[in-house]
Amino acid sequence: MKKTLLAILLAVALIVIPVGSALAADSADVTVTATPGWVSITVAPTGYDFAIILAGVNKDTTADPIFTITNNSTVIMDVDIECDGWTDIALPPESVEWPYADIAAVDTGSLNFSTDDGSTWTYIPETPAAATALAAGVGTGTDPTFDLQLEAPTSFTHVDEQQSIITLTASAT
Amino acid sequence: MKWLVTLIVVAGLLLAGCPQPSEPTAVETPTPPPELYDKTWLSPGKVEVGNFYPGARAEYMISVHNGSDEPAEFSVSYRQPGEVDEGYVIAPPEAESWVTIDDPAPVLAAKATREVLIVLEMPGDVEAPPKWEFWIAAKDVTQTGMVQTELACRWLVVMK
Repeated sequence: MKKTLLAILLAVALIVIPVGSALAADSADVTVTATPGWVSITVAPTGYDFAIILAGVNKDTTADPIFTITNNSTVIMDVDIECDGWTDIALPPESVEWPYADIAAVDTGSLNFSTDDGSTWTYIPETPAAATALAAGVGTGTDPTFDLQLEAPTSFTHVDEQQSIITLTASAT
Repeated sequence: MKWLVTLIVVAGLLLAGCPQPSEPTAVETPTPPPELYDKTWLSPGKVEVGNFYPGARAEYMISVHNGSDEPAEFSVSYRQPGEVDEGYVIAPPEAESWVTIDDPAPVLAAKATREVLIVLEMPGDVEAPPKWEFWIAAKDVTQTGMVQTELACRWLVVMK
């Protein structure tokens, strides 16, 4: 009888102690907290056609229009900007995409942005490179603006119409 | 025999008293301001994970709202931060595989809100910086313009 009891005691100890330790380790006070807040922006206009461009001649939107980011957020926010490079929107098989790079070259153009009416221009990186900051610490009710510039290729061998999608990412500061 | 019964009862009580794995905290979703009803938004702006360690798990429901008048498909995805909070570094590249998004392509009716569960589960045999950051981004993929918008929820992780 004693042996049986000892065996039971041992079994119980083996069950209880490891389970307790494992569960304690698993549940070790990881904390997850979030402050209520809503991130929301819209942009207008959502498109711009640079139309026909000349080799080596940059074009920008400083004359018109200026892009406005309407900040609907309830939190102070940052806005980053990036693009997806160039897509030839001519029908295949003629489709040839320009390379996208920060230095213009043959068939190679880039997009820049300005938040000071064109006094300074900043290169818009292509995904998946990290986006670059367009606006930081934007308070609620403040609507940042920006212009776009097309840095034209130095010369062309492919003249198909090209398109780039620019993404503005809003996040809480 | 009485001893045996007593032992079983005591063992049962001990087992019942053992620490149990923590259930996800029931968080009451705060109500957005009414003026955001017709705006597309993401909430919250930041999720902070503390005392994290290899082998640990953390989860949180983020909310995505379609403010347009038409149904819209969204992409909910992991992304590297454009910038990080002071003292934090960009999440290690492998961190993307530690994040599970239960519905990465939700289709939302007009003015509808959807909760999407984000689970961060770090393998037990890897290391991470003391403080690191990643983002969960939500984008309406039905946008057609040349300039599009995306909303991000920052995840700030502090290791134990």
